[in-house]
Amino acid sequence: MKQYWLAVPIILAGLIFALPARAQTMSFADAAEVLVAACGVDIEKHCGNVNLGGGKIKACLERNSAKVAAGCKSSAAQAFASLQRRAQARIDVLRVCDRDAARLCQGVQRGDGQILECMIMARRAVSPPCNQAITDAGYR
Amino acid sequence: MNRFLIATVAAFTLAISQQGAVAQGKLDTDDIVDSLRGLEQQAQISAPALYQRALARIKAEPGMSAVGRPSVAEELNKLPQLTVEIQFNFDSDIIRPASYRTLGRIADALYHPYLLDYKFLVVGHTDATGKREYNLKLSQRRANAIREALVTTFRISPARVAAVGLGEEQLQDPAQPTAAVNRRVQLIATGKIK
Repeated sequence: MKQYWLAVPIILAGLIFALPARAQTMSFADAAEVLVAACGVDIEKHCGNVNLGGGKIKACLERNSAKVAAGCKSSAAQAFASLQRRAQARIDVLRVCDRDAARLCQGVQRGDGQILECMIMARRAVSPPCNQAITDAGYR
Repeated sequence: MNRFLIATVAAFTLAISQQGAVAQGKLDTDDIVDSLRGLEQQAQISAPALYQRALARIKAEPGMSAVGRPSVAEELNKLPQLTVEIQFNFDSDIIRPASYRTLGRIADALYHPYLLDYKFLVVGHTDATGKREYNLKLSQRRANAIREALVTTFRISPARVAAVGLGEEQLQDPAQPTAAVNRRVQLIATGKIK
């Protein structure tokens, strides 16, 4: 009996962690594809005079949520969350890897791109947070 | 050499986590990186100056034939670049959802280590149907819409992306100025960010 009580939270926790982890590995192109596959028709129909940039498509879909397909609502939430996470990870990666870069890539100081490339190649030597940041940013 | 390793790892990861079509998309991002890397010199390119040059030519030579019309900014042709197809609503700067994936793919490429230290120019072009000055303004608005998506939705640093419209002043096929091939968007590497 006690074992069930233990198993339920573990399974729930597994589900909760599994979903974002999967979304986090999506490229921008794939996230855009998720959005368009589920919402392309609704966007053309309800947001035809609005552009993607500046959060305008996101706001328009939310504004029209009563008319938008249920599948679009969940996919849009997933796609925009993934875009946000991936962009944040890409912006954060050099800061997270700062100490590793100073330690491992001393000879490479010509630009962020070269430093990042050095970190990606130095997989076995970089710290776990830096490796995680590189993965979250989609660089491997 | 390094590039191949990164590409192989990325393609493999996608192949096991997503469908085949997605892996194909990732390879396209690699093609974009290949097209845009390798800028040797810092180019002195200013988007507003290019726009003003195009506008000045329209004003100075209103009767200039579209057939055989020379490029207004020949210097752009020497820089690393690629032409992308972005679909807009008719006579509008609204990007159609069918092109969101392409925007995402461009943004993925701009975050690639090989391109991270570079600046880019988004250049919008129309064909030679309609009024030249109107086309110039429409192409500028379209280039702006692409830039806006790149710097907001995909959070590319605003300092890395400039936008200019050249209307029908830089035709891809001056022998056939109303051909569809002239309606295009270019992405051009113009310099290092620091």
